[in-house]
Amino acid sequence: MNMKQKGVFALIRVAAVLLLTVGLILLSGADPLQAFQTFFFGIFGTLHGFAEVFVRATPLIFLGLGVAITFRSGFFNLGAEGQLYMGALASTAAAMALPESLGAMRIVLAFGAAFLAGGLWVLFPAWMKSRLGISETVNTIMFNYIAIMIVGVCIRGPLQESGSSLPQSAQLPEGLTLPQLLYPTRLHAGTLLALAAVAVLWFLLYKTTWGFEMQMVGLSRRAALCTGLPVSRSLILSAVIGGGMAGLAGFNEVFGVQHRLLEGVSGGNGYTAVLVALLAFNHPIRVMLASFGLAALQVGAAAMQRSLGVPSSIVSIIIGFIVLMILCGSLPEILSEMRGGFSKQKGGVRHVE
Amino acid sequence: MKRFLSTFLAVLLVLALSGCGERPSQLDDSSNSSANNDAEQPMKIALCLTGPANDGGWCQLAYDGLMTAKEQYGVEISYTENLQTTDMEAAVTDYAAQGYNLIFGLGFQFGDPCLSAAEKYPDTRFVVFEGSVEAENVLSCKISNEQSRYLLGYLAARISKTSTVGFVAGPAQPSIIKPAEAFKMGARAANPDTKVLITYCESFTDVALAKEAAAAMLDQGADVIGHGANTAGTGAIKACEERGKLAMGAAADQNSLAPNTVVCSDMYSFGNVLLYIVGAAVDGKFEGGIQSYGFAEGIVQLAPYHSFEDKIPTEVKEEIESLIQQIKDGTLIIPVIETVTND
Repeated sequence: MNMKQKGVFALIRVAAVLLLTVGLILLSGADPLQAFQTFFFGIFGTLHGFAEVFVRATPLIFLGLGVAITFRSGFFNLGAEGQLYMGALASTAAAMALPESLGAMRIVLAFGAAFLAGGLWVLFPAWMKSRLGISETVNTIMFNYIAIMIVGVCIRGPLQESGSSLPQSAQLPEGLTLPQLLYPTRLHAGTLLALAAVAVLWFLLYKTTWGFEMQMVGLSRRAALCTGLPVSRSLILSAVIGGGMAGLAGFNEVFGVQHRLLEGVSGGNGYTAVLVALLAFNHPIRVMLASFGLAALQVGAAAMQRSLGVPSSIVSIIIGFIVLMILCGSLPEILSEMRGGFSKQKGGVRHVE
Repeated sequence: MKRFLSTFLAVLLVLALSGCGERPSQLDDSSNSSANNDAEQPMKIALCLTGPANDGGWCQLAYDGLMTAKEQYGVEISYTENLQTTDMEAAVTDYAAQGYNLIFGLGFQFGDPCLSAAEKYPDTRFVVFEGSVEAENVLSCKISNEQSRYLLGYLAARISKTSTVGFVAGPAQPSIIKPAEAFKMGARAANPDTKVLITYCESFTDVALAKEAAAAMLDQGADVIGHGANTAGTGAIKACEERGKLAMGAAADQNSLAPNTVVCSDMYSFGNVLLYIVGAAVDGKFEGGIQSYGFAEGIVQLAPYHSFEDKIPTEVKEEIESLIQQIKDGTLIIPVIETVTND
């Protein structure tokens, strides 16, 4: 496919999205033009909406990074949801349990606890994959349910707010939340942490031996083994770092947004993160872009739903279709790879830059 | 370049069309004007739901209440479905920013989001169903179904021939323990020697489980069984129907499920609470705080006896009527017990 063909292909997809969107909005009885207007007004029209894009993108960045780095080493981690919950749980518990004399140090320790908890939560599936060859996809998903249940038990038992019968923890102690950046919007310092994490993971993947090893293992486990690379170590290391990143997303939601632990703190982002990683071809910087893109879509769609009463299911269909069309962008590449088969190594090496 | 195409498109889709985003929107105009001449505009009411509006239960009842409010009071309405915990604050804050006057959140999870939005928008009123938060412009509301369950317990004990009644409850959580304990109190009030069997089922939906629990109670000699387990509770009614015993319905008139089995039901829904609060707000009588709604407000009611109208002794019906009156007057206050008592 040459550039011109690609351009036409891209236009066709944009047109398909527009056509479906207009059709569905007409079906729901709203005015498409007004719908588009509210969509973009929702994102760019108010400070609140614009900040909301960052607030929503932040957990997606952490989770997307976590999923992307494990995908890089060939570990198909679908457990970001559970790792997020464990991170949220550990950081909340740390904030509650640590003595007050530590002051703001408690935030740092909670941050560490979240990373550790997320990393530990993926350790067992990673070990089973690397030592016993047991599929990690099923295991990591199952671990999600276990994590969610553990959080459910904790917020109805040891962590429950005393004197309250609601299934949620007490509010974090005074001064232990991430600073608000742009009152009265919800923008908080977690977004900066997420951007820092993007830089760190980019550096790790492309500028260190560990990162190189992870990518090699991901491209071909067998080749990596034959070359004498520490396959097991790389796999487990990438899994633990990925789990840790997802754990940080939990920390971010509790300390930046909710200020307490409760059920549904992930909002299903652990699964959206897989989408983010796919859209981003597991590249940290593109994870960031994809997160902002998806977050903007969600914010605009929510505004559309609230202002015009477009049902949420139609909004979901539109978002799903947009993502599908974006993924279609790599169709020519996939096709050429399939045609090229094994003889054409270029397709396989493309991840290493 | 090739590899960038996909991600590039994601950005493209958003940016290519953003030209029209900067256009002054009608939305902006309307929200400004509604803030300026508040008195002339109809009241704007928003409802935030945790599930789909057509779920046939919890969310739908509130949604129906909203639709009735729209017709009855001519208010402007909007609602959002399927809100995740992470998005609640954004939703209620955005409604407040759009100039909505009264914003409802269906579920205690809306407590914190509403409090924080209420701080930023002191002129907007917020209502949290089943909540526990309060502020000058934040109202948490609960339904006093302990009042009606007390009456059903009373009625059950009065018509029981074996002096043994049962109650099949849902999972042991405060909102479920409260009506179960009230049922027990009511039964004891009618006849101090009544044996009250209570079983908590760990499900709101497992009809077979509730049926089994009810059957076990019937085996122990119970002849009237109440329930408080949503969908699952219909299993308890079924068990009574099969064995020719009597049952009490819950939350809606369930007589139609088993016309010769269900003696009476209590009826309430958050939709009516919503309607009641909208009515109060339209009259300018909205107050923040924590409020329970029961018989006095007309939110909780007893269903008709249907085919049992003639079978229940007149004196029992009169006793129930007088108890309802006492509850309405406030001369009889049913205590709220939210932890399981074993006596």
